[in-house]
Amino acid sequence: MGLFDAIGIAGSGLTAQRVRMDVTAENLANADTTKAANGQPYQRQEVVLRETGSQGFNGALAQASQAEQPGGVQVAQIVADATPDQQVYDPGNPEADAKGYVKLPNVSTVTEMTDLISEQQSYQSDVTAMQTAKTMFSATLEVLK
Amino acid sequence: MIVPVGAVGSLAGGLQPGAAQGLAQGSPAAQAEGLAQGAPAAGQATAAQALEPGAQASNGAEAVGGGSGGFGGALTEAISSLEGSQLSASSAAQGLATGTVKDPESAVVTVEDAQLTMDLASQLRTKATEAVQNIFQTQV
Repeated sequence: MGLFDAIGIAGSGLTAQRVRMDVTAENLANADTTKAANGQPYQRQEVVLRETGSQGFNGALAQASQAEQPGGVQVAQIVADATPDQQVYDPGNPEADAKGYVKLPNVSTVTEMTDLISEQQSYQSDVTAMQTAKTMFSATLEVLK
Repeated sequence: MIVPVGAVGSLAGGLQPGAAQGLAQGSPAAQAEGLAQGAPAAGQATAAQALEPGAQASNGAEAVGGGSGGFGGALTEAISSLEGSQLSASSAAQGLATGTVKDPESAVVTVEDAQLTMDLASQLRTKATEAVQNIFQTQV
């Protein structure tokens, strides 16, 4: 572990939470989109997070050498939520099928808003961790003065 | 927090004439290796070497290695790390300004890292200068 690893680790958390926030914003913006890129209703996206260095060559090397690697978090992938689309009866809608039903995205605004709260809290705690680490290092440097 | 406290303790030990030579020999090089990211530039290497005679004098017959251990080595590594972190901080700031960096958090982290490394290096320099001044002011 290096001197200032805590700051870098907290920074990786900031990046990950910002990506989550981006995806949530995308979901909210497309909550009523009936035609996505593939012509189907928009599908809710979800972020999968992974511990840095837990996979791949670097992870295997770190495990083999028992070395203490600076950790952190990274976005593993962004996957589509497989929940079925909502069916809403709206015969006047140009997108309605023969029975008058419109397929709307599987985005629940309430879920997205609660996700948003969780992302905000996580981001704040990462910022706090970073500030605390910086304060601790600065205090250590004060010893030299 | 063990790491920085240990580094400071070892370096302070290395600065005191005749005190804690064992401390000064072992850990600072290992700590500084973690810090270091690039090869030391020629000017910085000579600056560190210029300090070494003072360190040798204060430690008596104990040899202080240039890049392998001791205070001189730790200082060289710390200064090369400082150079690297300052460069990456300025490139991060430039990337943010020109829009090539899409990740403001990493730029912030890089700049913070550079600032802390700079603080550490400047404190070490102050300590080294104090030590040399003390030696120069010895009454004979």
